Amino acid sequence: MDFLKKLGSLDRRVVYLVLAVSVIVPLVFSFNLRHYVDRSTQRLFDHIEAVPPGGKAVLISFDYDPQVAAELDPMAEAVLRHCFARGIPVIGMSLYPIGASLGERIFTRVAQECGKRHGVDYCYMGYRPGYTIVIMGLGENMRGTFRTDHYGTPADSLPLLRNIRNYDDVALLLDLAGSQVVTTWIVYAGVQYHATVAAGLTAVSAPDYYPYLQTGQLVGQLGGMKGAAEYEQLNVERGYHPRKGLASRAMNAISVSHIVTMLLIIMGNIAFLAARRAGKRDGEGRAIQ
Amino acid sequence: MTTNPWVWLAAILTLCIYTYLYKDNPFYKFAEHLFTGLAVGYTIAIYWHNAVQPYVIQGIFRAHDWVLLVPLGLGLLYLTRFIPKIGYLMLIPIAISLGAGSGVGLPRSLEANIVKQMQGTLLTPAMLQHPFDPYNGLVVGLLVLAGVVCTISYFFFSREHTGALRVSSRIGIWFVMIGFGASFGYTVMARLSLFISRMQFLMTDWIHIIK
Repeated sequence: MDFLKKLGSLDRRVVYLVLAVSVIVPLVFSFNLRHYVDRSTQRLFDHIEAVPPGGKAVLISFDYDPQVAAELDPMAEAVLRHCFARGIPVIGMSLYPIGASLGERIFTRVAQECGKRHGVDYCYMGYRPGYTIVIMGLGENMRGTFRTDHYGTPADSLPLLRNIRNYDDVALLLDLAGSQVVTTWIVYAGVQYHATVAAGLTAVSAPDYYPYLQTGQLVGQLGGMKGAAEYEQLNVERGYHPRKGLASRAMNAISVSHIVTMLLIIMGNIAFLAARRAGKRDGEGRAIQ
Repeated sequence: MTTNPWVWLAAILTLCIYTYLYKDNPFYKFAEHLFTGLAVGYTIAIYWHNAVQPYVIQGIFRAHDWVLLVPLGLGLLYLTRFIPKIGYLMLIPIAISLGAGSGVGLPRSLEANIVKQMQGTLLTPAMLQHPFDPYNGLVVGLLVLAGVVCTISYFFFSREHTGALRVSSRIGIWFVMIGFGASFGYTVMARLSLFISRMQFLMTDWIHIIK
């Protein structure tokens, strides 16, 4: 019982330390844990796989802030590599002021690695204010909504945009978001303009969008770091990229830290139940020494 | 270790933030305030260059698009909140935004969030072709239907939860709890992912333990 008493009143800093170790050790000592590809990820990959090279474009919106970039940056990178490897034109944009800079950084790096040219193989349009108005404007006239790209070049002078009028010329809208902005894309681009929408979401938001996946309002969905790792794995399996990226390397740490979290939750519950049985607990259920 | 001063700065600020896990301290406060100030300043600059300059200043003074004075005037009415005597004028842009937003959004929102979602709970003959399909199979279709009906019955408060309603509402609360559990699991993964990313940065870019 002494052990259970101590467990019940364990300092939270010990829990932080245990979790930190469970994250750091798998990162330093690399090993291969298998993870399967979820069907929502597979559906997104298959949809992009079916887009003919040089045909309709894929539009990626970077609607997130640095707080969640850890989860969404690897997704953006993996999808961009897939599109560039298949020769699919890509248009980047953002409804978030800071998201524009995050997207530009990824676009520039991946495009350079893949030898793609701005204006020809991809366009980065940057930020435009006014969520709903921008989404509806893109459905009417893309070059009217984005008169210049992120660097100030007139949209009319970009060869890639000459053949893209509105959502009819876009094979897929992928919204990378850490908020409910995905719903705005579904409501306006999906319902009003019948555009094909997919989402890359933080793990916190992912469960909220499974109903949209089930109804087909989202053709695919990447959920958190795991979604990004799955997409990286698919890219490697199909030969679009020689090695897995940051998300895949993080999966070992996620798996180990999840096991530790589960053990901590179980131990916490055992300590709580033991304290309750002994009739000694404070208002929050903590064991009293 | 890296010799890049920006990586050092980022690493030190990351460690400053994590010192909060031990207890509140001046290093954490410094990093927190620095981040808040930078984020606000950066956002103002971005809005200025991407919204105010191209759409207001250039639109009015270069393109002489005088119609833009109307939304500019409406926008400025928000600032009347700082003048108590005419603060009520702020209600005008709020009313316009709410009215226009509701008018544009309601029909589409109803279709996307109610009609389509209700369609998603319907059982169709196509489900019989692949009964165990995890997305569109008959089994999952029945589960979704039962989950939706039972959960809604839990939130039906016009009748006492007795008899059949008691059974369905009890099943409904189980569905709700499973939903909360799934959300919590995903949230744990999200928070750990952010921590892992910072650790990757520290060990890769800063101290070069991971190649």
